[in-house]
Amino acid sequence: MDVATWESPDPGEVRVLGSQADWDQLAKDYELLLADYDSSGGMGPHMAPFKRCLEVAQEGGATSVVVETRYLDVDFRSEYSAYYSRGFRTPPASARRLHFFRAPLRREQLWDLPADHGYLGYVILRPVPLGPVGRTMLKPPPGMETAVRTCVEEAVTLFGQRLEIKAVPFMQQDAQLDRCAHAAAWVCHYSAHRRHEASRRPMAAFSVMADASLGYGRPIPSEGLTVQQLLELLRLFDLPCLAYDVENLPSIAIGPGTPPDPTPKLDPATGERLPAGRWDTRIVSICCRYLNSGIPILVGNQGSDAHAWVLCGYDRQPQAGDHDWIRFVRHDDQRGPYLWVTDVLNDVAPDGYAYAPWRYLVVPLPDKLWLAPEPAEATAVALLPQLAQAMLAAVPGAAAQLLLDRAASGDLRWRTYASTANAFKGGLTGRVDPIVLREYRVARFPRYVWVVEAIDRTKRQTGAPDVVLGEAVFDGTSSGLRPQALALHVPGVLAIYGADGAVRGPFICGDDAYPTGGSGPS
Amino acid sequence: MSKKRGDRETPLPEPTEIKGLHLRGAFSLLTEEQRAKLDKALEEDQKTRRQAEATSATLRLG
Repeated sequence: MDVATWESPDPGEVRVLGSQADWDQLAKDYELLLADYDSSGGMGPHMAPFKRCLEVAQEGGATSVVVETRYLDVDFRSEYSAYYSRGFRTPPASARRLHFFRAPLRREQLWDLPADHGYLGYVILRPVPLGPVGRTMLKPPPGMETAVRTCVEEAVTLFGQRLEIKAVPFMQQDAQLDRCAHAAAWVCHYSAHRRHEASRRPMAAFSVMADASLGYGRPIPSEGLTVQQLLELLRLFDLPCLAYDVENLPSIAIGPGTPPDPTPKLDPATGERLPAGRWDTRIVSICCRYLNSGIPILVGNQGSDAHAWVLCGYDRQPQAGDHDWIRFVRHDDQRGPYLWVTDVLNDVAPDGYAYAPWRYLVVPLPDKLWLAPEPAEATAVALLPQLAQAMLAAVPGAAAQLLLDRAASGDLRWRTYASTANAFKGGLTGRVDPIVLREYRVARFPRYVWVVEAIDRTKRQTGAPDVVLGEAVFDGTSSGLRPQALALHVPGVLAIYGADGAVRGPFICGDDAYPTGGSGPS
Repeated sequence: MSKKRGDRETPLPEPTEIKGLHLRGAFSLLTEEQRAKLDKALEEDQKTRRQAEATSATLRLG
């Protein structure tokens, strides 16, 4: 492929996607275009992420695609400068950007889109056969919309027209300058950038700024990043990580609504203990706490075929018995965006790749969120039932009894999420009792808080949204050895704890259950 | 609920303190035994994280 072919037509084209044949033709055309550059024939597995992107757009109801040719993409330009421009044979220095629309567009509408265009997002394509999919922002497909919890917003300009998209960023490794770990780190970082928590870092920076002394081999061409390199890179990029080794996961103190630690499983053939990624169900609760916060999680496995991917959501399927079934949503740079993880402990891709056993959970976090969620949750589990008890001792028959009843019947659960204090306070309107709203809004909170909600599982099983019985709010800068409660709230009673240790209240407040304040359904 | 959600027609009354329920620090809600149990759990949490740090790290993802 020469530059003229790649950058034509000027300024772009509109393609109708009215039938399956149109979609197949789009995929085939790009496979040929990209393979032609490589001059080695088919694209094989490297096209899988692009094909998944097309599926997502098709499931979203796209009927047309606008192709912006000669799109100057900051991520690909960074890769071009750091790597491709230095090679003997150089690809074109521009990318293409494909925008998907529900509305059937015509060429003459390119500069004056109809109001009901139904924008579904974009896919940037690099002229790189080993990893063509660049920065991508595609709306989650139907059936996954509520499960996907880490969406961020981006304003897009297409021929002078402002479009908006809410999606989880995606990118494929180019298999030369960047590998799966770089792509996964970029997804987490770009998400944080869109949340205004980190400055923009182009894709090449994830390779050239990785500390080579923490890895082995030559940094370019890349063979991946070690966990240490990842942690250091993200620290450097304003997102210090909490890392969990799946072989050593923290527990939650036993209390009402917290399950006991799982028992290690043995290999029936050898009698040896299986890797924790095969049996440790704490993986699920740890991941949910961050996804409830809208924070994506980088997951890695180990072995000669070690891989990294990103979790961006989950859904809960109610089950009889003590536990619901959780399905996660994954972005895998080698297979595409928005893919279900149906069984964490036995995680295998449809193409046979074994993700299981998971080994590392790496969570890039805002700098000032120092407190980990597990100590916050353990403290809430201890404090909230005690507040209910104290209330009942002072006012027999008080509504706080409901929380204790749910605990006694085994129907109390905990849901934990982090938030900026501003977002937490802003989201209270229409969600909580007006007295609770006023007291929370005027309370002095730090920039980030952890919120641990007491959940009525009986109501949650019915699909009702009003399932929160109360919550504990914690100072995100407090110590894991003594998480500082800023507020405790159970049905009918609220207490606020000031930075100086003074207690405001306890006050009488409403006792109705209310919806969760975290990301996605409870 | 003491007031309908989103109803702003009447000013919100000053909150009513609960007579007979006196709170000091949040941790004062716990008995000594509960406090010791929580402290132990929080220390275990820190210990587990330190262990993870020691065993992790040189694995390459790619």
